Amino acid sequence: MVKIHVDMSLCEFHGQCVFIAPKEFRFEGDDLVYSEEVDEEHRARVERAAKACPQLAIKVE
Amino acid sequence: MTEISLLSEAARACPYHTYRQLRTEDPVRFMPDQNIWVLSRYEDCDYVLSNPTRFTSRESLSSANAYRNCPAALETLAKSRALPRQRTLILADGEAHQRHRKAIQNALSPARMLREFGPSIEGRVNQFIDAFIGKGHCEAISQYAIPLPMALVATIFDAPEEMIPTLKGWSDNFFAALSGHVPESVVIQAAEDTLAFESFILDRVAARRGGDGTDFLSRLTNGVDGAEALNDAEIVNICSQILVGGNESTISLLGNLIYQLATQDGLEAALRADPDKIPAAVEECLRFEPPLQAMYRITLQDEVIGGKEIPAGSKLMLNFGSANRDEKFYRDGEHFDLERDNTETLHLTFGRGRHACVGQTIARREAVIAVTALLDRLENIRLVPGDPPGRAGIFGVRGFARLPIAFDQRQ
Ligand code: HEM
Ligand code: SF4
Repeated sequence: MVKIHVDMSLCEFHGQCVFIAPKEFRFEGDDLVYSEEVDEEHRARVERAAKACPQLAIKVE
Repeated sequence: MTEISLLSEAARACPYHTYRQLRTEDPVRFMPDQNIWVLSRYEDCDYVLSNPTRFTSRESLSSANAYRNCPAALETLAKSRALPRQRTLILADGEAHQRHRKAIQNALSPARMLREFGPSIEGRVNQFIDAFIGKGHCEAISQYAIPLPMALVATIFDAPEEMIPTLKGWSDNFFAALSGHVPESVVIQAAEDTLAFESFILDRVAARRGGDGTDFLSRLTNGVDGAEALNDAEIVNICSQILVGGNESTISLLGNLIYQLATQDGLEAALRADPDKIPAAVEECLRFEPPLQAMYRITLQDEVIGGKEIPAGSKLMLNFGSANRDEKFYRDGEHFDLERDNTETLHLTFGRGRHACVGQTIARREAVIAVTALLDRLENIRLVPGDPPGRAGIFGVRGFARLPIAFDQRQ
């Protein structure tokens, strides 16, 4: 499994994660909601989202 | 490979052919005429951006330091009210950069900016269109692409509307001097403008110091919501980065988008049929024509990149204009393709990593709003025969100085 963690104290809601990996990240109203665990097959996409985050707020394990 | 220069007239008119030659024949190449190493592959640019401790940003913005070779400009700059000058934000590394970055992230938070200013941007673009729509033609840069980002920058600095032409004049001169390769008179003027801009900002800072305002300058001056307060020199430098960065590159993006609409068969119709594709068009235009074609770094130690030995202290040009078309990552990258999935390989137009553009979400939103309003009110957008577009003449910038267009009014 791929573990995702977003440091919400860093997130400024740029939404790049939502653009790149809409299955794992989405906005609900003013909140960023994301899957904490996803299947290994989605790792590449999640890592691309982490790389695209302008705040470097996303950690992927 | 034979003679090749990014300063040749042909390369300055359209660099992409030269980029392809570099990328395929000599992707890490020393250019003696600019005393710079040009990195033209995606992976090499990504590597440098992702390793900020090995590559300093202290001259990230310029291919050549115009001030250094101009004693008259240096003499003017010595009269600054905000001394000692210090490298700030886009030009800073390590801890100093982190401090500036935290402050600017707080002050420019896209969530708050777009909540506060988003609706007013929509009203503004419609006013700009009102001013020219009856004529059936306009000069899209001065009448549309410039007013929108300038209005936003003025809002950020809480400057009155009448200041906009002055701010734009400063911005033009700063930008030209930064890019290097300009006449000395421009550099001297830019130094004088630096002092005027500094006074403008510092007067506003003084008026806010110790207050409880929550606008952009108050946030930088007093520190709000856990962000540290910055000193005068830091604030002035950050503001000039916002003035130029928030402005010139967005103007280029808007012009590049309008040019695509005017010249690409079917694009206008496709976007009108499916407005949800407008963000994809903006993203593809960002990839295809990065307004800032490159950023720069300096090696802090000896490096081997792409098999080339590069000594410590060498200047690197990260050639985003080329990386964004790298065959290894983009199929048919030399073409604008509305259907391209730009989530597969994110273009480098906004940089990446610690210095990634903090204004990118604002810039994207401005572009989407601007294109949506145009498509809503104009159709059959086209170039004007006999009045061709004029490119911005600044090295490393991809955009237009003039872009005359004609159109029909939509009913
Ligand atoms: C299409 C428009 C824009 C483009 C192409 C662009 C491009 C860039 C790039 C490439 C960087 C990275 C610099 C580096 O790695 O050395 C950057 C950083 C920056 N941009 Fe933008 N930008 C745009 C719009 C904006 C806007 C609208 C603002 C502000 C309102 C802004 C403010 C900044 C700031 C303050 C930085 C420095 C961040 C840092 O060093 O940590 N930019 N921009
Ligand atoms: S990309 Fe980063 S800053 Fe933007 S919403 Fe996602 S986690 Fe937040």
